Amino acid sequence: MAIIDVNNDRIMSTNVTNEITDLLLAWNDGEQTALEKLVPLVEVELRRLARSYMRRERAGHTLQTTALINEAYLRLINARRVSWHNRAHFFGIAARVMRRILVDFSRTRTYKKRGGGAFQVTFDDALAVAPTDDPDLLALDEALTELARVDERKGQVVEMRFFGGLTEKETAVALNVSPETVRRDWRLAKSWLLRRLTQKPQ
Amino acid sequence: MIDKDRWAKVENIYHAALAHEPEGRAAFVTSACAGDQELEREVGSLLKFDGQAEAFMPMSALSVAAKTLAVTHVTSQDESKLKDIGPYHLLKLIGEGGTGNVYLAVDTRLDRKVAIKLLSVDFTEDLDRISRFKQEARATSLLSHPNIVTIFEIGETQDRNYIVTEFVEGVTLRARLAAVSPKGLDAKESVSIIMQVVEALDTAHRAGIIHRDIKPENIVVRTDGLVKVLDFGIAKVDALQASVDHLTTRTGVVIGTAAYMSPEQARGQKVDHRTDIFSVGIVLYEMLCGRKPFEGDTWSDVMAAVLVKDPPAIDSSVAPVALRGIVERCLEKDPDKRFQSAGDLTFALRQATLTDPSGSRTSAVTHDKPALPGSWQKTGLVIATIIIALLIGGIVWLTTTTTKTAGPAKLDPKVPRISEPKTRLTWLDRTGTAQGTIGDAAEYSGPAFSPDEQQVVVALTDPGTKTRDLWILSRLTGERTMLTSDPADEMNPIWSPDGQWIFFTADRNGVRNIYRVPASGNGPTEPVLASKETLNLEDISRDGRFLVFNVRNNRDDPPGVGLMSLPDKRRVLFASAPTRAARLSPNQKWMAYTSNKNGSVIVVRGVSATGTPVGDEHVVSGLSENATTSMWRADGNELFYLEGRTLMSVKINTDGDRFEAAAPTALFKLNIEDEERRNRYLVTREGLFLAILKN
Repeated sequence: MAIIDVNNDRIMSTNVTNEITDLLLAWNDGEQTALEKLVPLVEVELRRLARSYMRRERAGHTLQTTALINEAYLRLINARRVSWHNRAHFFGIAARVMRRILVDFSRTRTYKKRGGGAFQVTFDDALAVAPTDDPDLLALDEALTELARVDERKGQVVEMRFFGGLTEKETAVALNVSPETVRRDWRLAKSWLLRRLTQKPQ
Repeated sequence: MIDKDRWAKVENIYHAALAHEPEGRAAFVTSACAGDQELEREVGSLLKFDGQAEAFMPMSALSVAAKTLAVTHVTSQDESKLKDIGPYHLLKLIGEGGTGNVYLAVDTRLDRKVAIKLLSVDFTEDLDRISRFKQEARATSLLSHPNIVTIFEIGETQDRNYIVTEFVEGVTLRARLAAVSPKGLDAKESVSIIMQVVEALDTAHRAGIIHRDIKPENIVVRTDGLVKVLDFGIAKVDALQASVDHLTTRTGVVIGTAAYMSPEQARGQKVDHRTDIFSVGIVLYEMLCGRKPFEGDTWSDVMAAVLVKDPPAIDSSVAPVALRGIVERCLEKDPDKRFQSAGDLTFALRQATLTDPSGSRTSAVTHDKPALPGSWQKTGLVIATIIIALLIGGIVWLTTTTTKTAGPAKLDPKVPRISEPKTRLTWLDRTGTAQGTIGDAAEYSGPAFSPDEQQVVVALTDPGTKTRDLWILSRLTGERTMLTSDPADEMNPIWSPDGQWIFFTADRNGVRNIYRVPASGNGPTEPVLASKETLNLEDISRDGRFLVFNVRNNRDDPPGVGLMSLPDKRRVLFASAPTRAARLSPNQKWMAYTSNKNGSVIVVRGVSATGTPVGDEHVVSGLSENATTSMWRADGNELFYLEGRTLMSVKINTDGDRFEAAAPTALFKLNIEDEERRNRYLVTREGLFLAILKN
């Protein structure tokens, strides 16, 4: 998997990374309390990462999406401690943690901004060019939970691709399906979610 | 809820439809659904969104959220909850700065007061900056000067980086100036302070370190008059920070900093040590006059003044002509016209205190009590020459130049010390405090302990022949016994774990190979590993089975790391060139060595039972590329190494098969030779260090 750059290990804060890896392992083994410890740790790392990327962006560089995701995983998972075939699986787990953090974050922000009131769903073409500051992750999260009830794997594909930032290939390895299947799932899932988000729920 | 079979149908028809051109899809879906209208509606409504779906979720949530995540800062409230950082117990906030807050803390291990600067989260997360910061701080930590604040440790806790320095009780020059404002300080005090600042700069500049942010806030005056310059090393990064901040914030704080910038700094040009000379001129001007030489209401006004304006002349009532001349020369816009070194500036300042306005030298200076120059007394500027001389260590110069001749002295104020190339085996505790020595001063190299650590075997260079022989020194009595006396070089000894043998490297028959001799001295020297290659002994395993050595095909080649099993004389090339100085962990599961593939870093790699490498190389020496000379603690859970002359520590878990290492921390700096030689320090089981310190 291309996203592990061993040379980069030197600049990671190995302590935190190790702790996160331990917790991910524990959570994977069914220890539910691990998630509670995991979330704040990962959140700090993500914030730190986001800030350093935004600073680089301010300095005139465009946001390097792929690099951002790669670095996030380097910070979250000590690659040396997770076997190769388990890595993709781990990315999947990490994607779920990231989903929770980003949605929680969006929830507190939305609450603050709108006084806890309702919010508007805005997914338009502009999103492709210039993503809005405040994507409606809350609505998407709810819709995604519904999608997972209809088709669990499509829910996972969206979780990994969107919240986890994994590539098609990485998602395929994590779910043990072909990349073609991921592509089909992703396409249908997006249509399903868009329909769900633009229509009032029954 | 849609059932699974039905959903599978939806999915199949949906994807099959996508294979058709958009205009033909509706017809396809109708026929595929074969009259099932609900199914047709379901697939049709999904297909309607397919076009828009392209633009939906085009990048990951993290990328989209990065902006909003980024603006939510970790506030200082989080920091106020902090009570302890490692062994340091925080007492109170004593300063706030752009790069972080400074706390008074107690080092609980030594019960001493320290200052601890906790770098801000914003600062810490920028890996480039943090690496620059660490490099500078480490470079500074090597500086030893009474006027430079000592750095004890550069550390990291959780997600925060911090720097621990000596705690100086005194007032900043800023506070001192505020106390006498709008007047300045008298010339005597000004000169005393600035000379100490310049002395500190001289030491730093000689080590290649530029302060870049000399200003009254960074100068602390102790109650006894001793001046300490703060923020060496941090200064570079602080200054960069300031230059970024001023563009966005333009706060008063920044105007303050900008006011001490040199023209070349203000232009963003490359600066050298002469930028500090300019800043010294500004500080001296401000001390004498009670106001800054370059002022303005806005940042850009100040900058414009720094770049083009000449400062208002200093009133002749506050400083004699010589001193005014010095300030003017420091403030030359062109660096080439300023004093070219801190040493030159010291010289001029000292001249000014000894010279009257007519330029004729006074001669009433004696070793013990330099008399006061008359003209200075006349203007009421009593110069405390004794204090200054003591502070700047200039007594030698004063006593050697109290001649009758007029005119500037030609003597270099720096009297070179004739130092003998001798070293001492010195005991140091974990804080770097000396605990005694073993034996006399001599030219020692490559020491090793006996298994009971009561004796040291070491190479001693014969002052006459300049070749090395091996000696055994008693830890208790310092008494030494000669072990080898061959005319050729013998070096790098190791005591076998059973205490019977001393293995060593020797140049014999034109090649450098490995030999051994009974530790008792009673018996012949025998070859252990004779080869055409150049071999250099480094280590022996705890069980006595493996020798570890550097191996080169030719003497000028870079070495690799070799291993030999003593029972069957089987050799393994453990790490290919350029690697060297390998040390087996006490449990023999891991090997630490210096790798020069990329700078000089310490790496650790697994070792199999047969001595072959296992798994990947793990770099443990952090961001440094100047790391050498690794050494395991007896329990194998800590690895020491040198970064330049600073002793570093890395906590490592060597018990398991998984590699786990913490970030390195600095322990203390050692006054050792720069030349990389084997075992410039050793560590005992109880954690004492024995180092070859310069005498």
